[in-house]
Amino acid sequence: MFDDLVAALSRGNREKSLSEVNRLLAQGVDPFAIIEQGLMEGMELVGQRFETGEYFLPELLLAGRVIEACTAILKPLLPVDGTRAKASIVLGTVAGDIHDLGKNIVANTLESAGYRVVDVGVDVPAERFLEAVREEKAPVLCLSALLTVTMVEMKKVIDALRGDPELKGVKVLVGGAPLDEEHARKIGADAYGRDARHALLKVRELAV
Amino acid sequence: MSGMTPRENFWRAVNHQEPERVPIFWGGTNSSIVPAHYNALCAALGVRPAVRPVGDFGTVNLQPELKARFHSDVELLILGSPPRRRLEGGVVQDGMWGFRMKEVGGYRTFPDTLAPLRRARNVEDVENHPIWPDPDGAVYCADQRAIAQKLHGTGKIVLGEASYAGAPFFIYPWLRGVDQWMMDPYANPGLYHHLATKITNLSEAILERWLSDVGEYLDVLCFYDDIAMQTGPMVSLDHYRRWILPYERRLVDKARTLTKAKFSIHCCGSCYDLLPGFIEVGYDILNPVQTRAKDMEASRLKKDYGERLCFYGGLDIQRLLPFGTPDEVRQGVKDLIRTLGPGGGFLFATSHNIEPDTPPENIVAMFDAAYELGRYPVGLS
Repeated sequence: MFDDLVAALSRGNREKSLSEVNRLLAQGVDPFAIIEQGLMEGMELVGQRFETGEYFLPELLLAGRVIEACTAILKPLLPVDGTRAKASIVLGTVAGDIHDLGKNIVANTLESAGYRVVDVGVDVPAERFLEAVREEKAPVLCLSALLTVTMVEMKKVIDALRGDPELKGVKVLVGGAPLDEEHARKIGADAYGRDARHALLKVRELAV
Repeated sequence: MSGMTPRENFWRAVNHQEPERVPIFWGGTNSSIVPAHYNALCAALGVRPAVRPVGDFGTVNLQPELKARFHSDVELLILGSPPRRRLEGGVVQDGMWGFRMKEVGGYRTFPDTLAPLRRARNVEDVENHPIWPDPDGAVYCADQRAIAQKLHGTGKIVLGEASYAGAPFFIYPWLRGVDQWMMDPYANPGLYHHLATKITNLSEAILERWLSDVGEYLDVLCFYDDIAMQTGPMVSLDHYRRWILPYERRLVDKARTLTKAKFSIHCCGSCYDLLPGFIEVGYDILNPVQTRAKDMEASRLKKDYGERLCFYGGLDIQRLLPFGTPDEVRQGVKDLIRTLGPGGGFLFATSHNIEPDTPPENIVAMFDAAYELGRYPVGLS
């Protein structure tokens, strides 16, 4: 039922994907099922192709553009009580760094998986991250950085979070070019996301 | 013995013959130090900082004293540029193309959200952009011939920095946003071709005038093209060949007729898979050779492309230089010279500008080692 949507999304075809979403809705298909079995499957395929080197950034971005357009239609149709909506995830690029391409791709991927993504933007001070986590009751905070110097900022955010008793239990995922598993552990993060697809797998583990 | 001038040394190296010693490229625009760390380095060395050190790409144009301390063999000639305008909120507007920059964390950044053509939908919207360079404007070439002549007279290697006329695919994303630059070929190919052609045409016209004045004095002409990440190219080789290479080749072909300089392409990150494309465009030198990125190990590059490309850069600024000890840095320099140096084709520099978390003693250890250990023969004996 969702094959055409998955295929259109994985090719980055916005018009075809939108018409597929509308066709499925007209048939009475549950919007949540469209997200889970259409958008998520499509993004999963795109992520796999990126990992194997078949796809590059343009293909990821085009798929992200499709996800944005489709979720704009589907989101208002989801139940408001939140019983079926997944957790909120706060994400942003830390202070002193404005690189956001990778962060945006992670945001699209999480969104495609049905998470409510609260993107606090770039060059974000620690306090703003904590504020958003509090407001959204987010179980997971995702931090991005591209510069070696801003890895220090990540640690500041993590330290501030750990120092706040109200936010006990909130998990932190970090990602960005200069990082690796070892460094993520060193700065006190709970997980390291190698790329968007891997970040989603980690968020799934952390957000339970 | 040191009978060769830096220039003679360079021309042997770049022609894949062993020079007397590995040329030291400290002070090219992307083999310098970021402004946020510049004062600390000057203080550590007891050197007085320059009054206005920051160049076009937001990195430091080093003063002679600092270059001499680290045995630099290069002099930099930068294309003139029209004045910038200060807008509200700390935003600065470029005077040549009208893109917008903002200082964040000590870095000059070009946020997508400030890109002036972000909302352009068609060719007409592009044409309505109010600021385009005037190739006949005197500002690009003013006094440049006399400066070039003087730099040439030093016997050092003269790096021609074509700045914003040598970086068509910096200008495109700065005008339009990085994300749109990547999607336009598929989502709006007409706009893509129009904008890319317009940038290329204007760059070509400016280069033509500039090189007519200074071309004969240049040893290296630097172009820019950042299309790779830590883990691989941002775009496929096919995308590169279709949507980037043809525009760049036009620029390079034109420039070739106006200078005998060697052509350097700056591309950060893991660009191993794009190297055949770079060679096809006609580039001779790869910079900054980010050896920590995927598939960019010095030994692999030397083995696979050592006969066709020169390597300008390579000393890791992501881990070794900021986090290593001076002894580890010295060993890293030694390994790099032994790997890339044999047979020539290596120009020593860092794998990008030196970052603020780098201890000055590591910087000293690095350059002193490069000077000392760069004397040929450099291979494992």
